[in-house]
Amino acid sequence: MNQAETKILIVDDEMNVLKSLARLLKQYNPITAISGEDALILGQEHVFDLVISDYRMPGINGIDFLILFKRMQPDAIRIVLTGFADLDGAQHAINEAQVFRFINKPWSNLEIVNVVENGLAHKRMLMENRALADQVRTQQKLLDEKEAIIKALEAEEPGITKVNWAQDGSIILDAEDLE
Amino acid sequence: MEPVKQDAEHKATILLVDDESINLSIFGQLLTPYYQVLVATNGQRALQLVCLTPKPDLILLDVMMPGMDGYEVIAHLKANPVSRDIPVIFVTALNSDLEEERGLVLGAVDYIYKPCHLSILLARIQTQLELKSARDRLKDQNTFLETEVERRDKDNRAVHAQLLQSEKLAAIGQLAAGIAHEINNPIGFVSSNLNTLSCYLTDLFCVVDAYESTLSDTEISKEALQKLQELKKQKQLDYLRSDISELIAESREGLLRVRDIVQDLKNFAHSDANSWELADLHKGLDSTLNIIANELKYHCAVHKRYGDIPQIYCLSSQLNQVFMNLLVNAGQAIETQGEITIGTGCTDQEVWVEISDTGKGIAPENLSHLFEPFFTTKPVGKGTGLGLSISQNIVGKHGGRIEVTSNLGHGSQFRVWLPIHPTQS
Repeated sequence: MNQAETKILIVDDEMNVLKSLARLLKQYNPITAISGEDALILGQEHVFDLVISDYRMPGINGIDFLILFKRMQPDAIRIVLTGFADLDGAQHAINEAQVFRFINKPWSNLEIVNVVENGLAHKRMLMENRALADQVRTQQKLLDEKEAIIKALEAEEPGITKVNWAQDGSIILDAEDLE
Repeated sequence: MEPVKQDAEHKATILLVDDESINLSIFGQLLTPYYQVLVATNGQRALQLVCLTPKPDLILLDVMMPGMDGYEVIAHLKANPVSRDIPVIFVTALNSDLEEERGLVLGAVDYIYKPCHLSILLARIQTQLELKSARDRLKDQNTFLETEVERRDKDNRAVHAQLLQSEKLAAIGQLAAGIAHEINNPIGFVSSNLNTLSCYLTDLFCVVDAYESTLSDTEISKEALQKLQELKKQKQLDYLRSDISELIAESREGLLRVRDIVQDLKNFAHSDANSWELADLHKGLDSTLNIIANELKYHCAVHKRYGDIPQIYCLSSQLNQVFMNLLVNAGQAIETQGEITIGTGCTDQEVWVEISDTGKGIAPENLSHLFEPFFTTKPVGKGTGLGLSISQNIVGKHGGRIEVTSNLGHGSQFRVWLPIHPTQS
């Protein structure tokens, strides 16, 4: 996942905030939305790796938007950027929207870049983890199949799986076999 | 009736005015055991004596005197605030009802004919002195009561002013989060932009440096030019050029917004709330709207229907408090999404400001309690219950009134009527 392929969505009801964040994250070519509703429509057209959303917006608020967005694209990293959040909002964000980070306005550029990088790294790791798990599962499946064949053979010819082969392909018989 | 003998200190002082020394000595002998006695043999001297201490408590005044007669003396005494309250008894040989009437009209308290029975004279003097001391006591008490009333009135006013200010601060406190949000947004993007700008400048100067070092070469090779072109491209110089001007314009706008919010807050909270001034209500409404923008903009559409209204003479800062209370109430009455309309208009004598909402309305049983202090239907922490009570108080001070109509489930209208030329109390 290199930067060119990374897709970031930024949602805020304030145009100037969107512009400054887009400027800051220019290397990722972020897509911006002026409302949660607009962002949900964009979510149907693009797959995003990371979403940054304001909390207080007219219409649907940031947390409710992220909860809906999570249903559409559960793998996207969710970040809340807010000038003010009450305890209820924060709780909701953590429990329901499972946000990755909460960033306060006014923000520091360094923090945003850091959080975005960390978020993307986190996502990369999750994806890698999932791929590896998938790989393990397919291998396990192959193993299981082989095991089944071995079991069937063993049932037909007991001891056939316990044959001692010598390096040259000959069968080594020990005292027990000769009884 | 024998007058009670008193200590020298507490003895009443009596001024005898008579041109005949024989009279003075007779009266003097009679009165000295009971009173402190001052004497004057003419009107001029008497008028001087009343201005000195001890001030006489009573004056026995002869009518017939050479030079200034008794009537003239009493006229002077009554004209002077210092001596006005000293009771005067005329003691005279002039035995006529007309004379007596004249003396009483001029302000004497009694009229005694010479020769007279000494015990009667003493009794009359005593009566007048008692009357005077009773009068003095009453006067003292009245003065005390008056100052007390004034003091309490002042206290009351101070407490009221404090209450007003406290309610305003409480309201601002409740709005603080919203105001913080309103300020943090522009600060956020302005400072972010500045940081970005500093990165842009680093890139810019890097290109400038490269140009400079190339220029210092005696001969510019094609290779060097190519390198410069590449560097320009790498640093996205064209993008920087267009973005920097945008960045600065946006940041400027953000700073203006912070400045406006702070100015609005200052206008709103300035404690010099007691100065009457000619004010444009629309300006106050706009300022107030800016402060509470954050309470409203996320769930209400605000419509302004400003009419053509004259400036009015008012306590503008206090009226802003009224508008804020009404607007915050309107916003809180709207639970999900709704509209707030601010209308203004005027008649010959009055202007009105109407704030209506499409909120949940007010239950009929609550309508009559709306303006009672501490009456609130809001949850704890959302209102003090003082907003409307104080608002009505402020509007009342302007000689205006607040009219309310409400339709449960459909919304409420609050109309503030204010006289264009209030008669100040």
